[in-house]
Amino acid sequence: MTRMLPQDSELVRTVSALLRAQGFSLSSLDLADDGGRLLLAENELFVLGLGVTATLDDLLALHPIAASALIEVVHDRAVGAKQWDVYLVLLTPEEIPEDGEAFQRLAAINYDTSGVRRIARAGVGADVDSIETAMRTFLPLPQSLDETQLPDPLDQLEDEIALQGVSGEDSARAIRVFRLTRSLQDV
Amino acid sequence: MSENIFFRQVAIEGFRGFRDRVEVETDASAIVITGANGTGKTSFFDAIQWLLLGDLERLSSMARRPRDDYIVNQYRLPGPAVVEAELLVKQGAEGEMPITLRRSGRQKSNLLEWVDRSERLLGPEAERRLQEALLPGNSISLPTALLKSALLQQDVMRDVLEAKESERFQHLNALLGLEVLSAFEQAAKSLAKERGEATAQTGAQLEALRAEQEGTESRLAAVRLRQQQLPAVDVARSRLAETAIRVRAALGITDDLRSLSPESLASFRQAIAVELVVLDEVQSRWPSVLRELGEIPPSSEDSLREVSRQIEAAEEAIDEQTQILAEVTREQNALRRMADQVSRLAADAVPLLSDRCPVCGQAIDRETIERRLIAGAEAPAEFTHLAEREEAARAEIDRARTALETAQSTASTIRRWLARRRELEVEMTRLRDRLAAATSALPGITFPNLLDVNYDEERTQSVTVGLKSIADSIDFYLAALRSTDEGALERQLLSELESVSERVAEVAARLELLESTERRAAQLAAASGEAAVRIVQKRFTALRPLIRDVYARLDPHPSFKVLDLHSDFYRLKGATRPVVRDEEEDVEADPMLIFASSQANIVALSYFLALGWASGDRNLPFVLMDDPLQSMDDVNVLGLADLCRFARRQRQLIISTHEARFAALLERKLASRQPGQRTIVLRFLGWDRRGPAIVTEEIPSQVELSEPRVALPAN
Repeated sequence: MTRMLPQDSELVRTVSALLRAQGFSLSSLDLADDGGRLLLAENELFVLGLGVTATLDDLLALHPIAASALIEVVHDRAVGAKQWDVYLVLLTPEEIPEDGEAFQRLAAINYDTSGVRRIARAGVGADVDSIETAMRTFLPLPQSLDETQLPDPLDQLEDEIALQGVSGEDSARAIRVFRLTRSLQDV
Repeated sequence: MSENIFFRQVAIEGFRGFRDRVEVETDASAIVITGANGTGKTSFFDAIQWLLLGDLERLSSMARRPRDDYIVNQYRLPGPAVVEAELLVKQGAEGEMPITLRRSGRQKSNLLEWVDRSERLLGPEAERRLQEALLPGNSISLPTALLKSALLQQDVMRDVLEAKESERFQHLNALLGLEVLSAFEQAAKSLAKERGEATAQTGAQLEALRAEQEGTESRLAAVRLRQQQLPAVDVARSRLAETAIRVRAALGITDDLRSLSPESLASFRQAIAVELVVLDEVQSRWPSVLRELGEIPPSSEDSLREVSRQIEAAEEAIDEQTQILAEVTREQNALRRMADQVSRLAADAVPLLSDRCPVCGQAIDRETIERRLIAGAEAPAEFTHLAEREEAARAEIDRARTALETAQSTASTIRRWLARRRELEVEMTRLRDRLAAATSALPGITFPNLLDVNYDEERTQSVTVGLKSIADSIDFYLAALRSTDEGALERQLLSELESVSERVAEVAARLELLESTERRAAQLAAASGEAAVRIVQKRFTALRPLIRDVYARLDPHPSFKVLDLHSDFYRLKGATRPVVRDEEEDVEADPMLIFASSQANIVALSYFLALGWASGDRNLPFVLMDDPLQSMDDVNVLGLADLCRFARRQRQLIISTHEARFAALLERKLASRQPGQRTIVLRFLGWDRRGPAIVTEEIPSQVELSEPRVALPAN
């Protein structure tokens, strides 16, 4: 029997909240033989079966059970072309070294594309950053830069030039002239 | 959500692999191009590049012979090639303007045509309009924007990583909206360069002037040498030497005056004139000053002190006697008042006396009693004594006043002496200073001090005579020089020398000022470069999560999981280089050096996509990727396919692949799931001399799948 983190654990709650905020519908799927419950999440692009376990061993044990269950439910629900968008996401907070056997086994899950695509991540904390990193594939790209929120580069330049040893008077005059003429000929 | 469509239709004719005209519909936010290698997919991307830029950068270096033409289809030579597109150009926040863009021509010459609802532009005007429409308010050039972050072609995929670090820095700068920093740095460099050139030019001018000065000095020296060899000058020189020997003892002459240049001799002669004026004054004033000084008693200060004491004593005596006199006067007045009262009492008492004494019965003589009473009241002896004291005091006061007047007169005389002595001493100092100043202007003359208390008039006279002799000899010598034929030339050279020396001084001062401004300009240029790097780094902090995000989605390496950009100031330029990082082991490396080719391709792809995405509206409204999936493994391909689903939301996406499996994946992944969204597949089925055989298909919308089918909320 695998030890899955309960639905009310902080990690599962944060994952659920993040997915809900991104427009995913959420439900759950009971696994056979008291294997716990998979969280199901779906939006217009993705169908996710999400299992969160306490340890890597649990994750490895959960993998075949969860994959079968997810494939089965997708088959049963007649999702059509969305079958290509089904992902089994397996997360565990346990940290593992990146040069050991455990890492290789985790990598093997990620490279197993039979039936469904798999994303398996270890060392996932309950914080948003850590979860966003693990779930990145399903989240929109970050916003591009909003220039209106950034300081005026010439103001910054005046301060930075002065820090380089140019006298405050020279730097202020140079910036003032440049603002007006886009040249330094009159400095 | 509105569709991100830029290219609505592309028509190609006589261009590279396209001989016959082909019209391709591209009116969708995602276009997948599939087909085996050699079916014309890359020619399609080339057509778009040529349409926008008028050249194909990756091929330009391959044309080795002048008649090579890589633009025109080889079966349609000499052309022209034509590429035409219907575009939707965004105007403001909402509006879109349909445009027809057409480029026709050959490799070496072609013409762009811009047609919109209101105008038709050709050539440079059309090119300018295109730049303004695609990159409004953006100083980044269309070729840079297209080739660095909008068009990724397999052949040049890793150019973004292999580009010069300084070019990458400039590109990053523009994408981050910091072109103004580059503009400022460029202006500062121009200023430094301009100031440097001005300094160098002035330095060269100064060198030329100094050479001219030296040349004039040499010519002058030569003229003078010739002068010295003339007999008349030789006589005058000999006379000067003889005079110097004759007066050597009196004047203490140490230099050989003959070795002095004519200018030095003229200056020397002028100094002698001044010295003689001073000596004349010395001779007329110094003896009388000494004499007058000798007439003033030497101990005047002591005498003045003694007389001051006498004055003080006399004043004290006057004060003392004046007090005594006042006291006597008070006593006299008191005595007079008492006598008056007794007299009045006696006068009142006498009438009261009876004729006989009530005690003894004797008769009383009233007149005698009254007289005695009055006499007793007046007390003549007391009055007499006080009168004597008064007289004595007055006599003492008179004596003291006489002594005071005498002493004051003496003091006044002594003070006049002292003041005069000070005046004489000031005059002596002035004469000494003038003589010392005048003598110091006479190099090589060291006669002893003439002005001491034992003034030797004869010695002064001897110095005066000696100087006059020297002056005469110099005058004679200089006159001899001037009278020669070389004299005019010498004067001309002297005038030239004076003029060039003035110019040397003026240019040297200007050079000093220029060097100072050049230093400051160079400092500003260097500082602005380093400052720009720091600002870019700060701004890049905001971009970093995006680059990391894109890289992590493609996830090419098991350990180096972070892609980053480092900016620094290298060889006076800002430089940006990509690095990959293993954060667990804190190891950082250049991906081009350590990654396998396929992994490096993914880094390039991440960098390309992230920068294109980060710059938002500053970048072109489309992204073109020509077969970016080569060498990628399945997981990376899946990651890219999912990434493309989000990328199409911001920019029109055109992506090609030659692998049928990946093409099928892209078709599935990019199928529309939103109302109004379209996905088109361009199937390049084959190629013959006419060009590619292309079939256009629209992938049926899957909008019905936007509703959940698996994660159904519990009833």
